[in-house]
Amino acid sequence: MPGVELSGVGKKYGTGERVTEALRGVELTLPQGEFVSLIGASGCGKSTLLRIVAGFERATAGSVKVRGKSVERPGPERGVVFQDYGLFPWLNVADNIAYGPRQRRLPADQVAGIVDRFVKMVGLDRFRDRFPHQLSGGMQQRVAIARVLANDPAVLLMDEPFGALDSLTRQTLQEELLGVWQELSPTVMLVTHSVEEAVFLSDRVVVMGGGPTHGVPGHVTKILDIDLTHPRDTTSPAFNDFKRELLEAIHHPAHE
Amino acid sequence: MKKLLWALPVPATILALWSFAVAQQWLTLIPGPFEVLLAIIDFSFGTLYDDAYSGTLLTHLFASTGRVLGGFFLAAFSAIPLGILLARYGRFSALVEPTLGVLRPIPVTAWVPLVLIVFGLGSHSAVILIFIGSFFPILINTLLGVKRVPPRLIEAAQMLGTSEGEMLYKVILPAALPSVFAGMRIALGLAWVVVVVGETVGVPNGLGSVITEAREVSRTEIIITGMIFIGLAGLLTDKLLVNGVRRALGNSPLLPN
Repeated sequence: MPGVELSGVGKKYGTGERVTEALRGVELTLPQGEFVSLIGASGCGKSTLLRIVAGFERATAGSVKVRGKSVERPGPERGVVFQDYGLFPWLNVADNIAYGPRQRRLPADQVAGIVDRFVKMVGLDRFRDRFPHQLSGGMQQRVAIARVLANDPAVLLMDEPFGALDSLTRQTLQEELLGVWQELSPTVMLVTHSVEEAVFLSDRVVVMGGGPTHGVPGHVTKILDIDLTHPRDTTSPAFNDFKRELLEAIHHPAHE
Repeated sequence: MKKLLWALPVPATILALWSFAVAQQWLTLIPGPFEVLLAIIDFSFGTLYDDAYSGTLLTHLFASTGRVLGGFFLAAFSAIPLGILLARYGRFSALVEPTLGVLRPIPVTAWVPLVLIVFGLGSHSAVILIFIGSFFPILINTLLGVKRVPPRLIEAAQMLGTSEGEMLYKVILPAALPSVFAGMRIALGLAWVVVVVGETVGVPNGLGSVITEAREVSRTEIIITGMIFIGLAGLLTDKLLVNGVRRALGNSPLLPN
């Protein structure tokens, strides 16, 4: 059973004359445990697509399934990592991570065990009593990742998770994310603006184009398999060939 | 201790200037600090003069504090739920908000005659006036606090398995708390303003009535004494509110120290 299965997915906003079509005819299937990046110019609908899989928005056409089940609303089996973290500012690190397990009514000792495991996995053991505003952006994003992992999600949905971080922190977090993915093997959908990030992390990169400003609804223009083994050398010729191919696809999409 | 040391110079300067002004006879109708100190002692313990004010501090203080807290909690228990409903339900808001918009600008002092006619002279009227005065700051701040909960936090809670029913107390209230709490503090401060207004008419006790009556018999030192105790009582109730909320809600980083 695929991790994520999108068929004929479309999204329209508004009604009557003022309708805008953000997405049309998206076909995409992610086997369980696959790491897929969505990339494309602003307005191509990649974030909208992610929000549809998350259940924050409903597709107006087609079907969206996660592990064979139709997506109706947000749920803990689809953990979302936002660019702006979305941590609960009144809860400390440990309580933010414990939020999901507590919502599932797990017994206290089990919750404590889960918090312990993930607070260590993201390297924040010493900061478990701190509140979000006392942490750097990179640390906050680590908490946000630990918080969704604590729910043992089938799918990890990440919307430009490292977009607000400086480039050194971004690289560290990319490597940490890779480690987490290799250890827990969730299906990952990552929206990014960075070609390098996409090639560094993904099994496949989905290039999207169009969008209301281009007069065509957002759609998939190209899917590229990145058949490099981890760890990937970002300076290798093969790596840069993939980058070049992606940049080409983003900036000069083949006309359909 | 260090904090106390820093707090002292300003009142000390005021006292010195006040003393000097009285000694130079710039202020002829106002007693000096020492006279007021004696009045404070007599008002508190009743050992010096044995008049109508001697040793009556606790009676008046309890009467005023009771009215303040009564009106304030009445306001909090009605304005907080109403604010949440107004922020969450557009229909309800469309029904009620225009009326509230007209009622809100009416100052509490304008309510005094009507409240006296309906509730008569006495403690009830003071409590009702405090209720009216405290109601709107709490309502407005609750309303804004709930409306300004970042949608991102709602989404985060949804994807972590929070149902719509739990959203109110799991996310919306904790996120709106700083604003609600700010409204409560403003309201409590206003309640002390209103209690003095409310006690100027037809109540035999309370710090407000002490001031009013002292003016009628030209006991200026008692007026100043009453003012000082109103200030102290206001400060004390504010501290109690802050500590009470802290104790109830734990060490939330969203609350002021």
